[in-house]
Amino acid sequence: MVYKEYKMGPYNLHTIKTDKFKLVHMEIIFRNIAVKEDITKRKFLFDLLTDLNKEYNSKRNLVLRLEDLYNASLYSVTSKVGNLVITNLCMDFINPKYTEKEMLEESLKLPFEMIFNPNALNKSFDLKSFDIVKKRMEANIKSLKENPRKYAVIEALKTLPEGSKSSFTNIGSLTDLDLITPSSLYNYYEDVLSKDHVDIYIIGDLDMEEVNEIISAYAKFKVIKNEKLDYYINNTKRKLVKKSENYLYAQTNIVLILNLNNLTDYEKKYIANIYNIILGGGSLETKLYKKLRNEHSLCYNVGSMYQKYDGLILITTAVDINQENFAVKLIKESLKEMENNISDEEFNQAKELIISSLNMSMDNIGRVVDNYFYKNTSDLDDYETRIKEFKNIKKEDIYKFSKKVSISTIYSLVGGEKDEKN
Amino acid sequence: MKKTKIKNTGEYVYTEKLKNGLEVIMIPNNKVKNFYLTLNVKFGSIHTNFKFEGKNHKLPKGIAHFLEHLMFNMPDKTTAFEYYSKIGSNINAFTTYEYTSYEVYANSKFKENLSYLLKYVYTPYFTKEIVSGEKGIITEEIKMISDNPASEIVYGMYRNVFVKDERKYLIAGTVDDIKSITLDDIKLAYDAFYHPENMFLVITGNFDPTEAVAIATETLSNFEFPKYEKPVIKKYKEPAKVATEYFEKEMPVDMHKVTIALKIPKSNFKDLELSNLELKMYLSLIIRINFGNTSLLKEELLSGSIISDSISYHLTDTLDHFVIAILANTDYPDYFMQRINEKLLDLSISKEEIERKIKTSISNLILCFDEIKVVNSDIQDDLVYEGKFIHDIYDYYQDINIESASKVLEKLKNHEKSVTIIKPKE
Repeated sequence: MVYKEYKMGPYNLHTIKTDKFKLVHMEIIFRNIAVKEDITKRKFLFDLLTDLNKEYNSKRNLVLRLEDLYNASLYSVTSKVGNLVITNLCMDFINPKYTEKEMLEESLKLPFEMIFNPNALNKSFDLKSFDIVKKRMEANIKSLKENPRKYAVIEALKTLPEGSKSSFTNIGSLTDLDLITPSSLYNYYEDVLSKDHVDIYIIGDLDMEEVNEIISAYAKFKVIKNEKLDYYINNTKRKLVKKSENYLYAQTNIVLILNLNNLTDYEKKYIANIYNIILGGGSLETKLYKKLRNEHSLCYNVGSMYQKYDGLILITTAVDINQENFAVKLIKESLKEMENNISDEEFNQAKELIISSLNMSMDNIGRVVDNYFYKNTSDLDDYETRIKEFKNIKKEDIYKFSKKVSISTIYSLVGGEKDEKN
Repeated sequence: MKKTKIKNTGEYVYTEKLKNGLEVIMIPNNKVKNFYLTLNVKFGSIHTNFKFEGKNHKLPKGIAHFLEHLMFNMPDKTTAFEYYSKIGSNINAFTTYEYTSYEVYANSKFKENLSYLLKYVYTPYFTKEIVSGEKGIITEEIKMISDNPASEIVYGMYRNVFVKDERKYLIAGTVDDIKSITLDDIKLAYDAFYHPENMFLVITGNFDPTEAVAIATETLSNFEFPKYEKPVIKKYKEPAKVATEYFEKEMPVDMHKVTIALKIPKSNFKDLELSNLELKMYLSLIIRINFGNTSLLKEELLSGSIISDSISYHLTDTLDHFVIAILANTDYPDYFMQRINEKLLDLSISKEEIERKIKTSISNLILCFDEIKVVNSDIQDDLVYEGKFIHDIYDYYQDINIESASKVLEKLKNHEKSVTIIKPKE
């Protein structure tokens, strides 16, 4: 893979030339500091921008255009990552060497036509298309309860201290959605274009000089942004909060939020990953999996996720209502074991898994872009350094790290029927 | 070993049948780092009633999925999970209506990964304790599925469409089915179905086909497989009528989830001289054009706020029927059904639309080789539903024409319909 950066002033173009994929993948990445009220607006805006524009003035017309481009796809993903909100506006299309040469420019220009030629008049978005996207967003937000695990995680994060950006969700809120109008959304659109940091990544087997020429003709970003945006949030240690809520499910979903206190940069980047893999991330041989599923047949799924930029680990599982307390007890026992009772096997497996997972990521076109993006904008080390550092970690590092872990929240989304004896 | 060009893709498929009967299908891609192995058994949730070694057997529902859970245990009290975790590989397994698949995804130690996959699947080790321990886990899995309205609408649809076909039962079975499963049931299921002659190995990604066949041959030379006669699965005469024409159920959802399923006898198409695969291609095309993202109906329903997102559709291929399911979320279930029904009486297709969709399918065909998991899964589907890997699918796309499409469309008028609705709980 040959990586090259073109500094274009208002945006940077990053090209990754490789013949590994027949697909060409482009991401126009917008990032800024996360503001709670703006997350709904942001998701709304990019959903609208990737649905239609002035030329393709309905979703159907856009899909027809994408089919003309040999089934290209255009979509956006908005994520809250630590202190920031990041939107990836993506365009995927088959390498024109398998179709027609003209498809390169036709495909590359489409996302910019969507961004710079929205279906708007007098600084207000077209009401009809605005309503369609609003209805879809409303349905998505309301359908959250159809996924008990996801709903439980969002509710658990709401227990964090007021103002903690870790509690902001990616999907938006109905209250914020109600306040958005076609003109307020247009104001926000102008804000994003003038204030967001913009990077463009493109990966595929292309002549990247030609790509740069084409993109520079269509990427009409104007404002240069230089200030550094910090990803990290500091969630300080606090007294344990317990919360439970009843709902109409057959299972009880449990979420534990762990605070990771006063970590060094090295711990954030390396030790926390290995700790999380041994505890509950990655394989079916973790402490949590063995204890809850293998030894006690309590659950089908149990796992943990490390949220690097939030300084948190989230543990999730779903059990029978009558086993809720027992499951929490076993999770606590697993955490205790992390302080002084990790076998050589568990430790070595975690290292093997993380190295293997790094290698796996190299075959995923989106993750290759992610790797370059976080290396360029955050503190992610290069591939070789990461492998070396993971190999150097010692078990004592994990034990030392575990002293910095505290339970912040135990949240239960209670479903099922209690046995009479309980 | 046979090497065949996959037309219009620049890729090759390698196939070999081992002495013990195991079919091996391989598509290498040495530009990627990873490889993906799947060992597949033609034993799914619908195969519970069968004749084996001269006797008729009826096993509890959910047995194929239960057996899949148990396969990871080894006689030395270790598990396949332990082995693969040590070498940094990802493993999993899944059961469908038609087959069970054991998968390994990794990027080093190809020999160890492949050899152990064969070793653990061909080393049955079941005890009463293991069977009993797994019951709690699967019970929680069944409850988890029942909490998911998206699964419930699909399972509900099958329950309402089929009268005798075993797709009307849950793949994992019910909690009561699971309680009734015994050690003997498990042993019988394994002996009846887990024989190389009833299985196939698919390998995609970074590897060498010659080495792969050598590893499989060497590994399996350590196993003795008895002479095998495939179980004869009981065939049900599925009636043309649906089991239930209208069914609704309340769940914690915000919008109604509606599925309209068409049950179409394959006998409808017998005078068209089209293969099963060709029929499926035409049916998918017709449904995609009339209900998909470029259909005028979808745009109309979206503009009128009848639906909030796409209309999705799904084609099921059974022994004697095709089932086409059309699904959407709506606040107006009656009006949505009315419009779908009207459209079903007025299906249309044009030469221009067909050409456009063929263009997108050919693009997808080329791109699928970028993803070693996708191409592996496509091979599994071909083997299960078509009996062989379709290396000339490009020709099938080229042969699609408006005349045949119009004839298939005409035959769609003869169908039975079943509606399944999940509505918000009051």
